Amino acid sequence: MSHHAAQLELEYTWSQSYYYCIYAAIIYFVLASFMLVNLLGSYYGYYQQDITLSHTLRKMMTNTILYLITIFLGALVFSHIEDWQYLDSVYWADVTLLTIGFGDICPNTTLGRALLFPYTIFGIVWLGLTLTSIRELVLDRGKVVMKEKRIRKMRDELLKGQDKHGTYRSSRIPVEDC
Amino acid sequence: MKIADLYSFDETVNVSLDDRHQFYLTFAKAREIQSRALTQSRWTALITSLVAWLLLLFGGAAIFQACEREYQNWTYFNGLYMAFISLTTIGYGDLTPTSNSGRSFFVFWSLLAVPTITILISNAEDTLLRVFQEVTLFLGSITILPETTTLGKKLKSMLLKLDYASNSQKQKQEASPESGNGNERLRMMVPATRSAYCAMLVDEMLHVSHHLNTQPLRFYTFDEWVWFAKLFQGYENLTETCHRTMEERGESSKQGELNGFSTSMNSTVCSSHGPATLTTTTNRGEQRQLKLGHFTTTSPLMGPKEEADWILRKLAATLQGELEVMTGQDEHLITIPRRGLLSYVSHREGHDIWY
Repeated sequence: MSHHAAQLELEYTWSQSYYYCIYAAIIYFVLASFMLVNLLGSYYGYYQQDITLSHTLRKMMTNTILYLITIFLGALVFSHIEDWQYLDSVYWADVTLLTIGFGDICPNTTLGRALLFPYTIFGIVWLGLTLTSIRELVLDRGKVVMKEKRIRKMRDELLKGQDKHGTYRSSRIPVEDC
Repeated sequence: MKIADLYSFDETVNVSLDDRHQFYLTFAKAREIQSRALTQSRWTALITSLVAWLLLLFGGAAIFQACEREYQNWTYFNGLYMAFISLTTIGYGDLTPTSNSGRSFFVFWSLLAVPTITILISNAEDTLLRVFQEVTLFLGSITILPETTTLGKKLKSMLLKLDYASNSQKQKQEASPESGNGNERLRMMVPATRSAYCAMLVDEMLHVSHHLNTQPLRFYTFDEWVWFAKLFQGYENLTETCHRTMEERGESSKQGELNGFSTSMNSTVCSSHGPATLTTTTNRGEQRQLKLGHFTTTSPLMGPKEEADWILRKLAATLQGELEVMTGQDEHLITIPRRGLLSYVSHREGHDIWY
């Protein structure tokens, strides 16, 4: 379809679907390994039996899923309108909604160009929401947890080393000397 | 972090120190741990996200080159250039993936890389870019967005903010155990009546409530903590300890009526006599122990709560206790409904130190 590809002699090559299958296989393998570790951990008592999803985690998951749905559904619609291959259309939607905008594939029909307005506005806003929720999860919550953990560790080290003197354990705020 | 620093600190410490000095040592240690933990966690986060981003950039470039070599004769630099132009969302489009493998990998890769760069920028904001942020804010405040504070104040607070370590060092010097005098807020005002004491508590609550949810978070100095600890004592203990200390020192209680309070100023705050017993009995027969300096999770210095929040709750609890005593004295007053504030503080938060 592209200029360079046309210059090559006719040959067989793997389709995009094949490569997506490879990525899916890698992701599923990693996820299945994590779940196996989790299952064994909870079976032998290293983890808790049930997991409670926090509000931020839930928000991040739903936002990500909905963002991906926006990409894939939009790609489906535009591939029909513009007569693109579906997976080329997915690539186009990804480039468009991440505001990269290469311009190697762009809509040429009037209907496609008109539909681009609402689609990209919705998609870019949704990308913003997704990124915000990821940021919130990783930074705001993760950082507090990390800091608490570190403080606890330092405090335990301090107490372990200095318990014999009792300097820090028994100190009280002075009140008699007002 | 050097653990050796923590250990060597203690070897010079005399065990039989008086309470004020001991509390001061603990306080300084707690502040040191806090600032060190904050710095460490910030830098760890920055380095982690930076490494992740660089891996994505250079690894992605290698894969793009491998995908496009047959089709467009890309060098490694071509792949890196394309990856960088995409990551920064510039998107010139002069180099784009055309192969099936390259396009499919681009979708997969870009969905990973864009959140990573967002996180990287936010992490850098706390550490590397903080200096730039402060400088831009400063330049803005003296040029196009003037503030009400004077230039000198602004400069001073900015310098303090820039270096937390030197800031805490300064605090240590200011609040060394021997230099309690001269602090205006430490001027001990012995309330003449119980209602005057209640008014003092309300006054302090209003003062502290301004510090709630402010950025950066308010961390109280050593002298302020001592002052609050005195306030938390309750009316009887407060007046009793104050008068006793003054009698012991043979000082004439310079009491002058001022706005309903009889104020007594004491120039020396440090107690020179041996370790004082702080287990006092309140009017309700409960034991109150002041153990602010403890290195436990219940300590407000090391706990997860905001300090202003903690102090405000404690002041409210103290005020409630005083009001309960007052309603007990006056028969015609109705009983104060307890909305579970005390139980909230002591049970749910785990801060059952004094009650």
